[in-house]
Formats: sequence, structure tokens, C-alpha cells
Amino acid sequence: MAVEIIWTLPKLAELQAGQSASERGSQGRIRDVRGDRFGPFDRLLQIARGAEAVGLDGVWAPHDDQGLDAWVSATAIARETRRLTLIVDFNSAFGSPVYAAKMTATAQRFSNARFEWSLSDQVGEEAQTARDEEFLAVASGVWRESPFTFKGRFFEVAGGGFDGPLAGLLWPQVHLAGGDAAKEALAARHADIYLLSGLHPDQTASERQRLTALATAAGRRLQFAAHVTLATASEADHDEERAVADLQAHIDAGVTRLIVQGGAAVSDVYAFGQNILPHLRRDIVAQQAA
Amino acid sequence: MTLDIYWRLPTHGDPSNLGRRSPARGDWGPLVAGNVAPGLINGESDGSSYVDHLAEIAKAAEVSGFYGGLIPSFPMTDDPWVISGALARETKAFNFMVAFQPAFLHPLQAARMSASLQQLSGGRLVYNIITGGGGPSQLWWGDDTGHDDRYARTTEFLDVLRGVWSSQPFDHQGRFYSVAGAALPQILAREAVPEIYFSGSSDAALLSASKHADYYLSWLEPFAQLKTKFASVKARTEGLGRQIKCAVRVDVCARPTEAAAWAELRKAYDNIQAEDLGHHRTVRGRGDSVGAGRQTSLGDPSRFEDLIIGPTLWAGFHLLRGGPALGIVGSYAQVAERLDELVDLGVDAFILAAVPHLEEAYRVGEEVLPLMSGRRTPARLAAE
Repeated sequence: MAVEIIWTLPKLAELQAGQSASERGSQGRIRDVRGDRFGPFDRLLQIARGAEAVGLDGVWAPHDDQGLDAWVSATAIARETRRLTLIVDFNSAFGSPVYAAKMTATAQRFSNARFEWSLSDQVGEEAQTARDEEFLAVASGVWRESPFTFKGRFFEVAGGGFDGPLAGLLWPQVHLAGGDAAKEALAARHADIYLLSGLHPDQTASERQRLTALATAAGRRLQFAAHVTLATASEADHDEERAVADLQAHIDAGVTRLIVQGGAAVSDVYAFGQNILPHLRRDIVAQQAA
Repeated sequence: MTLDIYWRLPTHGDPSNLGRRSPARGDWGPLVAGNVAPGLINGESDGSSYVDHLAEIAKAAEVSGFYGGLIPSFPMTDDPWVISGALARETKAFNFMVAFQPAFLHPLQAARMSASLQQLSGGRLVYNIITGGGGPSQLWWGDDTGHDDRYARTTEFLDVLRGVWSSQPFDHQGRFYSVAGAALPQILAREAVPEIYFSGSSDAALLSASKHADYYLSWLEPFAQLKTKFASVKARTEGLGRQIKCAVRVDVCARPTEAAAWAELRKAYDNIQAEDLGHHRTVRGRGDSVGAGRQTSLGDPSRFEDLIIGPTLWAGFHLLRGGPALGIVGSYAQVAERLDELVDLGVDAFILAAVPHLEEAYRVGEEVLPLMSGRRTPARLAAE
């Protein structure tokens, strides 16, 4: 098994900040044929196609209250790519967990089963963890059982469950982060991939140990992932060496999925793919003792 | 006065012929030789999926002149939002009429997804707001809200959706939803709120439609019944100081001659009867839909001829495939004339469909639509 490197798609503000001003000093002599036919999705789709072209394993579509919806981005990207894993970051204020699962069932059918979930927090939501627990219980329930019945504080289903071509599809692996005891307990029960806090593997050793123990007690196995922010490729070569070293440290510590924030420009994903990715040793030789 | 004519994307697979049940297009039925998307090559799937065939239907519809297509949403269908996200960039003009129930999405999430799709597609999203048939189908989604409350919720859903669809913070404390300081970012807020097609036959539905809907959508019913229903909706809406248009969803069986159309339909009916051995297709439990009740009261399902209720009208389409019972049958000119009759009755938009949806998009788009005048005749206008 190889460590997976995921590219973080830019949020709208980052995407637009990267664009040069559209004022043209030539007083309009240069013919601009774009009209209103091009927008932020064009750049976003090109970044995603670039991630696939350079050999990255997937893209992370962040939840962006100030920008484009991650589900729409991911479904558009799915149609234009063949291999990338597509991680949709959203929260349980979405609406019905049955509906989130149903949308995902079609997404899996149409993408050769490349979709995954990240369930993150809403700002200022009380009972977030309790609601997330029910959201995931219902979503995984209708996915795997038919009939499925559930009665909770937030959600209820009677005689639900997916049948026919909607049944038996690959479950969208769920990313969850910790932050407190309740969230860690939830992750142990429901996460497939745990998002480590902290910026450096040294800071997360005890977290990894704790989550591994919690998951084992729940009869489950967790993969560990980390968000890593890099200096952009426009900086000097020694920063690329440092980037390789930083990423390698995570890999050597047992993190099997790195979600890289490497810049908002199309050129950034190509620079990463050409200059950093080839230097990472991604084969897992042995899991480190927790 | 524009006339928008939509086609339909079949979200539960599509047979290759009206006389076959098995959905040979897509993987909603068994994968056998002759299937498309996926197809079978040397005994294995060719790796394509149903979205590839839906893309072809959407492209056929836009090439042959349809305004867009209805994308239905039920427990046993693929999902309209995912289909729209996938096909937005693959089509140029096609308008995506996404069917959904307010119970599925929080209105803020619906607004965000919708405005994003508007941005992705260049403004080609349309809503078909459905409020569900109640009973087991409703509980399947996790919704135990009763019939009239569901329509009250639909009204509040659209209140909130329109409210957050601006870049100014919006507050709402209601029966079903609460938001505080909610707003779309500017880039999304400046996209247009989609046109709303609204389905539902009950009094609660008409009340909800009159507040928010741009089009009141009905299945085809006997024309006099339809006219009464439209008049009622328009009266209620005018009472609120609004204008509402009316739309009809109707299946057609159109061929070069009337005889050929009836022969095709008869052959399909006989094939299906043979496949089904007279077993009437059952729906998923009993629901509280008033519209479904109206449909099943039409005609006796036992004989083909009994279901002919007018010169070009047959009330047995629901026996061939799920959906409305009443459809239009005839030559291209006759079908066009019936559609023009409906325009005279007050219809401003159609959702047409026929099986198989790919080939029939070309047939209906290229042979029937050009024969429609699409205008209300002076005689009718004078009579009103």
C-alpha cells in the first residue's frame, strides 16, 4: 500500500486572490473573447485535472461558506477525471443524511466509486457531535441495510435502505477530526480516516496512540491523515527540500494520507507534482508501533 | 409569451423499446447483450455507466430544440443534483429541471448548491419542487411530516431560500427552519434564483404554489378537469398579486401516421401484458398523494380499447412504465395539434417524454415541435 497524497482545492477567496487584476492597460485594444463564459469553476477544474495529470491521488473540496459548494465542485470534477479520489468536506447542517447518502450513491455509480466524505463542524453549533453521530449512523445504515429503521433525537427513518443498483456500492470513506473527548470517541466509532491535529508528527504521537486504542476497543481500524500547508513553489529550491522533509516526516510517523495545501494556482499543482512528489518515499514498510 | 418545452431524463434506466420493461439502457436492470451504458463486451462490463447515456439524452434534447429536461427523484432513481453537476459542462443550452423535496436539504444548503450550479452551467438550473406522496415512501427518506404540514414546510423552505439568496444577512425563526445572519457570498448571490415548477393537486398544494411558484405543474388529465384546476390556481395566485403560468407533463406516442402510432402502442401494450401476465404494477405502499388518486381513477386497466378516452388520448401509459396514465397518441400533426389545444387551454410549458428517451427526443423535437404554432388562437382568446 502506498501513502496517498491529496491536493487541497483552493477556496474562492484564495482562487480569486491568485488572479491578476483584469484591468488591461491597453485601453481595450487586446480583443478579449471571454465575455461572461468563464468563471471560478474553470480554474478549479483545471487544478483538479492537473492533480490527476501529475499523479496525485485525489483532491479535497473544502467547505467554503464564502464560495462555491463542494458537492457541485466534486461532481463536476468527477466527470472530467478518471482516477482521482474526490473528498467532499461538508457538515451535518446539510439536511437529510438519507439524501446525502443517496446523492453519494449516484456519485459512486457515475465515478467508479471515487467519492469520500469529510464531516466537519458548523460554526457555533451546539450538540454538533451528537448530531454528527446520528447523521453518520443513518447514512451508513441506509447504505448497508435494507430495510433500515432508526429513531434518534435529530433524525428518523422507517423502512429505509438502498436497493437494486444503489445497494452494495463502495462506502465513501469518512474523514473525521478530533478536538475533544467526545469527538475522538465519535471518530473511533465512525471514522475511516482520522484527521490529526497539530502541524508536526511529533505533536501528534500521543493523539495517534489514543485514537488507535479507542478504535481497537471499538473493533475498528483507523487510517491517519494530516493537513499539511506548504510554502508555494515560487520560493527558492531549499524550501522544496524542506517540503519533502516535512511530508516525509509525516509518512515515516505512520500517516498514510497527506492532504496538501500547496497554493491556489494551476502552476502550483504542477510544480508540486514535478518537484516534490517524485521525492517522497511512499511505500509503507511497516506500521510504526503506536 | 414564451413556450418552454422540456424533455425528460429517465433516472431509473430506460428500456430500448416501449414494449419492454427491462431497462436496457443503464444498469437498473440485469446486464445482458444489447445493453448500453454499461454494455457487455466479451461477457464483461465495458466500464461505462448510466451517466454516459444520460449525457446522450441531454445532448439529443438540446440539439433537437428542447429547452431542457425534467430530472425525476425517487427512492429508486439516480440523483438529479449529481446528474446536473456532471452534465453542466457537457451541454451548452440544456436547462436542468431538478426535482427535489424540501425535506432533502436545508434551504441554505439548497441555495448554496443551486447558486453554484447556476455559476457552473451559466444559469441553467430550474426547480421542480415536489412535496412527496406520504406513507412508506416518505418515511423511507426519514420524513414523517403529514400532508398539509409538508406543504406549509415547502412554503417556509422557499421563504428561507429566497431570503438567504442575497448577500445581506437574513434572519428567520419559523416552524420548520431557523437561520441567523445567513447569506450567500456575493459571487453566488448575484446568480438568478431558478424558475420554480411546483407540483401538487391538493388544496394545501395550491395554496403553497400560489405564493412561490412560477409554473404550476400538472400531469395530463382530461382537458376539462385540467382547465378547472388551472383556473383555480390562477385565481388564488392573482389574489396574492402574482401571476402564475401553467405547465403539463405528458407522454406522447407520435408516428408518421395515426395508424402507425396506435399500432406501435398496441404492440407495446401486448408485449408488456405478455411480460407481466396481467399483473398491475404496484406502487410502494399507499401514500396520500391526491394526484396519484386522480390518475388511477381513469379507465379500466383490462382492455386496450377501454383506455382510449379520446381520438388521440390513451389512459394506459402507467401500465407500460411508472408515471402518468394519460398520454397523447397520433400522427406528428395530431400530437402537435393536441399540444396546441393545451396551449389554448392556458398551458405555457410542457414536459414531454417517450420511450426510448434518446431516439424519441430527436423524433418529437424534429417532427412534432415544428408543427406546433404554440400560440393561443384568437378565437380562444376572444372566448375567454
